[in-house]
Amino acid sequence: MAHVAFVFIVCALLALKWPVFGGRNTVLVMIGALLPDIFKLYLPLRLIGVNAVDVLALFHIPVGTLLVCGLCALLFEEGTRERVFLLFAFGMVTHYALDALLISVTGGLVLAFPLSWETWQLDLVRPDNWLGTTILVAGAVLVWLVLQAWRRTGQSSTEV
Amino acid sequence: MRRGLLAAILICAFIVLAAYYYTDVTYHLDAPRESEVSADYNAYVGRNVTISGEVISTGAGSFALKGTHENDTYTVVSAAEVHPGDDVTVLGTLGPGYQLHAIKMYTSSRVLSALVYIRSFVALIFVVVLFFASWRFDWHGWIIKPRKPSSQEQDGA
Repeated sequence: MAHVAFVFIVCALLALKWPVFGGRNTVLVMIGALLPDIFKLYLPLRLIGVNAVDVLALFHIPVGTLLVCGLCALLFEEGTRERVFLLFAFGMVTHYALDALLISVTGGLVLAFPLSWETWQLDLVRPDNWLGTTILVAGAVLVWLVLQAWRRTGQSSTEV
Repeated sequence: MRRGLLAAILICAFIVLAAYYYTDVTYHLDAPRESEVSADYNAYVGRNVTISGEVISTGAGSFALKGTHENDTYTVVSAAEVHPGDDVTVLGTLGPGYQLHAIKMYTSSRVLSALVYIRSFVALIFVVVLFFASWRFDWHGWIIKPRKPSSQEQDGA
């Protein structure tokens, strides 16, 4: 949820200068931000006794997520695929930026695989932290309300 | 045709990299995990390992941790306050007899862990609904298209 709220805030701000981040494209960035978490399919699989952590791990490694971004972009119309890919990739970057802040005991993010197995983590925020997520969601709602009010003001002044 | 070829290349690249990760990950871990430890316990005694699992009982200066994957029970030597049912990940030095001397530990209550997954699920539903509000899947061409043309397209741009 934090990833989605963060992307919404970032896209809303970027769309003020670059409209490509606004409108229906915002949801593409949101999807890009969720793609690394396909990895979490290991959780339901664990319930049926399958340990798929290492099999699915590539989804949560930038090079793997980029390949998935490319595959997903191929589902879109020709001529828009490059832009869709870049929007997915931007969402992916926001995902890893937030995940890098989390506390990890198991090592952290393998960001440079397959070039390096080095892991990175800033160990600042607990994964089950509610305050950060609540602040981000509240921020996203606030930004949405401000944008709605701004659009309404803009429309009414145009009508005059 | 070109789309199919590109998709095949991307899928093959993914499978190759996933296979490389799967086969080599154990050689690159700073601290082996429960699955590696269970396979050859004595080889890891005296080394730092990472064990994740659920607290099943607590005592003075230690607690019993049931591993997530192999269901082995470890006695974790730590003064940290934990409660039965908590989800714990421990980085510690493995001793004989399934004893683990904690160096670093991450603890989360079962309720908080469950809520993290619930809020993720809610976010997923939200994004799916938002996506299909602005995009649609065209089954004929297997293409995702916008529901409405953009304002630029409407203007003929």
